[in-house]
Amino acid sequence: MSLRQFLKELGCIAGGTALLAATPWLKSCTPEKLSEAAAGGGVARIGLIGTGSRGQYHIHNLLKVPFARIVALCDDYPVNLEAAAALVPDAKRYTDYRRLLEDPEVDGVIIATPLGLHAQMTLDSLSAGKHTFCEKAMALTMDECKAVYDAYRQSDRALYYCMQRMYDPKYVKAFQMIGSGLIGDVVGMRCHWFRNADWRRPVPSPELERRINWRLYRESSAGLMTELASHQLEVCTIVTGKMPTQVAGFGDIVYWKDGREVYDSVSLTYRFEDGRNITYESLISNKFNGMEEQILGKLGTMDLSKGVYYFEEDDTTYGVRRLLDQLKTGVFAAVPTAGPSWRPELRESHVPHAVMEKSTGWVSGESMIGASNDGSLDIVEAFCQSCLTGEQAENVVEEAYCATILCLMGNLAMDEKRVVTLPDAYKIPYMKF
Amino acid sequence: MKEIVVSPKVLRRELWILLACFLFAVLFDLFAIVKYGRPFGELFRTIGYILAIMVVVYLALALLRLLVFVICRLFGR
Repeated sequence: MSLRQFLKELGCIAGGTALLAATPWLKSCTPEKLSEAAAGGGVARIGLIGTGSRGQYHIHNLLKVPFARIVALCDDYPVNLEAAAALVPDAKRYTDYRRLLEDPEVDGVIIATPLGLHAQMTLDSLSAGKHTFCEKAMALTMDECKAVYDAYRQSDRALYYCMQRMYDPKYVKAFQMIGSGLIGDVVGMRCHWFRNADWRRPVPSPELERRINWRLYRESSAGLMTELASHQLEVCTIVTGKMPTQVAGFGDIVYWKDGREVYDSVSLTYRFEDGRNITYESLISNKFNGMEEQILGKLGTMDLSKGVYYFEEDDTTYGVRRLLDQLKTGVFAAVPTAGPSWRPELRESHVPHAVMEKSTGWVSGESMIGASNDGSLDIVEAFCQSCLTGEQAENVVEEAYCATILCLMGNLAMDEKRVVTLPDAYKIPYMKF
Repeated sequence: MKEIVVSPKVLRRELWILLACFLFAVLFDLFAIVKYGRPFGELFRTIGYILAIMVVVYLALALLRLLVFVICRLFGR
């Protein structure tokens, strides 16, 4: 189901508008507002900076947006620029992004470059008066994040960060369900992202190593935290409406000792002021656990990545089934395995309930480019709509800022092997503690 | 090969036992419905569980009866 379809259905149900209040960033892209924007017959003219795999993925998505047109492409790596130009032959080509920003025919800019370039390009784009969409995370350093946030506050242009979970219908629905108290009080969060791949891309010649495999080097990447954790930590701040203030953890290069500078294994705990924690793990040499974002409630658990939830005591299960389970537990639990007072408290098999009846896409986590139906198209479409209306989606920048700051705090904690507290200098009014 | 003949009397007895097992399964389901406050319509939706319980109980009884039969034979009764 697309986000538009989801919002349309939400508008048809009683209390749908109230549910939208839990996800205010969607208010700017409702079907009604799209109709208003489309009534003018306008087309969002988009310039794309960065035409690598993710940039080309955006091109494919943009080609599906009826009110968007790609008018300019920019990359200083000719191979990628040519590949992108083959998809959009009519678009102008640039090798210097500043020239693209000077192009008056460009209304909005999509930045799909390595993380180290995000901040400067975003600042330049806003300064040039362009609506701007940038890949996550926000920036490579906390100072850069703050600079971008300040520029955004002073700008009248729309700014988006590609945190696609905010536009993925199954996540949106799950946010609303958690907000309505379905799983009770949120008492903790567990997120992890496990892959078994070296994160490398083939390099045609050695001098291109740091440009093509930019994710592996500190000058352009903050590693697993900004590439993967940023998405998942954002989910936690949205669900709680709060910002953790402390983090501790360890990170190392455990397996891929191939000259890379970023950790291939991270394990962290983020602490909220009220005592709740987010435990976060990521590893790219074992994929057994895959990707999960578990919101632990007193009454149940929401697994957002799978789009399912479980109740601690499942009232929806048939009575006879529950009675049989109870008898089984009673019979087998009576067998001591290591002493008279101990038995293994193994995870019970809970009945999963789908967040959405109509299935949405999710992948095993192997893909570097993106899952189908994961909100990427929807957020790009929302951005194009903002290019026409000039309306900023609420909270998108703020959430990206919070998530990125958390990622960078995590890296600092791992680098310095200490508990890191959120510095006052990086607090913003949006944050609640 | 020896023919196994099931007399009408034995067949009737087995059917009565099967019926008793079915009633037991229904009562078990009813007990669960009352215990967990489920709607009574669930009794019909869980007919698969009832039949499964009936078969399991019948087989368990058959095993028990076989055991009794073997023990009796062993001790010469």
